[in-house]
Amino acid sequence: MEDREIVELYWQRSDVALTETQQKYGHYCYAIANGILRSEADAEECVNDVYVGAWNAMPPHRPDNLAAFLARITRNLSLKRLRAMTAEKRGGGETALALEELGEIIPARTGPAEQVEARELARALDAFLATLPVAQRRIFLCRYWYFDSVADIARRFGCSESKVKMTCKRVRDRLSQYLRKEGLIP
Amino acid sequence: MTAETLQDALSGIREDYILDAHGGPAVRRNPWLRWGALAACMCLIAAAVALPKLTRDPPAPEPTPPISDPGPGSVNGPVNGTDPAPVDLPDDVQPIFNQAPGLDEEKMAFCTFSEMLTAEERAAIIPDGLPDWLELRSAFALYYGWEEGTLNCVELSLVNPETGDRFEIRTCPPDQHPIDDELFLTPDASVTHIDDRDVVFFQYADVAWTAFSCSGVNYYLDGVAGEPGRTERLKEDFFQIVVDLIRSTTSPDLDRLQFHREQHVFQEKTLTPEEARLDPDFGAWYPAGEPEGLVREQVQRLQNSDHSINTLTAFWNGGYDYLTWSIRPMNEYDGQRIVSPEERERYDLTLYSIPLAQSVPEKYRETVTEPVFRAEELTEEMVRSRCVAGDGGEGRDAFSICFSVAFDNVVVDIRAKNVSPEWIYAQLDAMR
Repeated sequence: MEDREIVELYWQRSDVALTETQQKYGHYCYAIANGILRSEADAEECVNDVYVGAWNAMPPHRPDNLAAFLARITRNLSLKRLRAMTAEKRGGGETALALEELGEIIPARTGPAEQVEARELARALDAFLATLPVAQRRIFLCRYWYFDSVADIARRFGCSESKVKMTCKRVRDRLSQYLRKEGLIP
Repeated sequence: MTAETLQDALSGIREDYILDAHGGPAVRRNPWLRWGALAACMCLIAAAVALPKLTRDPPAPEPTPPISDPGPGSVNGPVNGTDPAPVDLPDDVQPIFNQAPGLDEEKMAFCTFSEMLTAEERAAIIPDGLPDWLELRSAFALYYGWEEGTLNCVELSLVNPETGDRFEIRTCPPDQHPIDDELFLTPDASVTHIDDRDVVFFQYADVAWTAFSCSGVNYYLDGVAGEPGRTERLKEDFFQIVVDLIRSTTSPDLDRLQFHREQHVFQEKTLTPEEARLDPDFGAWYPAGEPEGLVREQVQRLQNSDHSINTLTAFWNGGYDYLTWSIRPMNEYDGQRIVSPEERERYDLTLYSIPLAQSVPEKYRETVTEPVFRAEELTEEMVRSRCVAGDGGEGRDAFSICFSVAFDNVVVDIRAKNVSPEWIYAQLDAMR
């Protein structure tokens, strides 16, 4: 079924929307969730929450791109669950490492005065990502959007793990400079 | 701003960037589409591996598979269902592309193949043998080409069982992988002299790497610490491997590797229903009749020489309605999802309310989603129990059906919308 037809089913409040979403995007959402949570059980629970989230969001939303819409919900719910798990001292591993790397961009002294709207920041990130060579942008997002392991990224891009790590490091440094230049971090 | 703000803000970036980075989600409706995409993907991978010097950027990622781990419910492997993301081109300048040397049609039309090395081939690559403290985990030769395989490199994966440190040695013909200057990011890097050779070693976090030419080949080496932070031992061992390679008394003989074209033959045939029924492997499980109101779009037989791909699939379409009837060998995952008639809670959709995500207990979720019935136990009631009612579009009522049936070592996967369960059962019943 085409995405627009599935979205239409959500708007009609038809239960078929959920089974079609599960059939078409269930594994996709699971893979994103599992990439972040590294736990089959947690990822499956998270994907079930994604369906509920999609059901609650449509209407009023009518996403242009259903795949990206579901991917976003999955990422947000997975991160939320991961934070809860981290608070309970579960989880960690590859995702925690990637989050730690990303966190290095933000100076420790940043306080409430420098709080930035997530939307404004997302716009800045879009602008920054547009300045990157395509391959660097893909590696960066595989690592920090999907939380793929360095080894998986190296395999996917046909390069060494060291090259992936160096690329991530260089992009993080550039992002840090960019955010500073834009006045988003001190 | 906090690190969490940054993490959350990343979720809101442009949709095309999100999908482009991973190639988008898998689409499971039309299973045969994947093989064309897979072939295209293989060509891209080959381009990435074989022509690293043609671009300054790291090679483009395969557009598929989007996700390396398709999840526990997947038996189908990767599929690509997303077009490449649009690119914003400036309208005030025109690019001038230079013809890169060696980039001709013949080289563009290649695919990659990997072959596990035989014992003789391993001996040809590491003529002096490996040191006692290293265990060989895998040894593959990577080839590219269309008709003839051209050796791109040999990959040896090794591990030190004592420390858990992993090492990868790529031995490359000098014309395939010239030592990549980009690897050496620091122009004033210090050089280590080993006999008459200059080698530059790098370490970042838990990874050590280097690349050098020696004995008529190019070596690329990576070492990854088995435990974070344990890099001193890693560096010592890494250095020892490099010294051993440089002081090896015999050169690797890449010419002794043989490409086995017959291992990589892939067959893709479009069949008539009559031809499908005569298929020696799966013909017996092709339906005798045609589903009412649907139009047969394609019957396809896919097979490769190692049988990792081996299916006979028929697809009928009719607007919102469809039927996919796919026949393939049984696998381990099918065995885990076999349900008996009396275990209704494990497969019967009539016991659960929509949305299933909220009503099906977690322990039954896998089989309720995709159960496998034994052919000898199948009843019409079991097929009916797999119907999920809903809206079929344009105001019509509709229902979806999804289940598999195991006939000894063959499995039939049935995915349908608005196809009579009685008709489906009759087809399956006639096959017993």
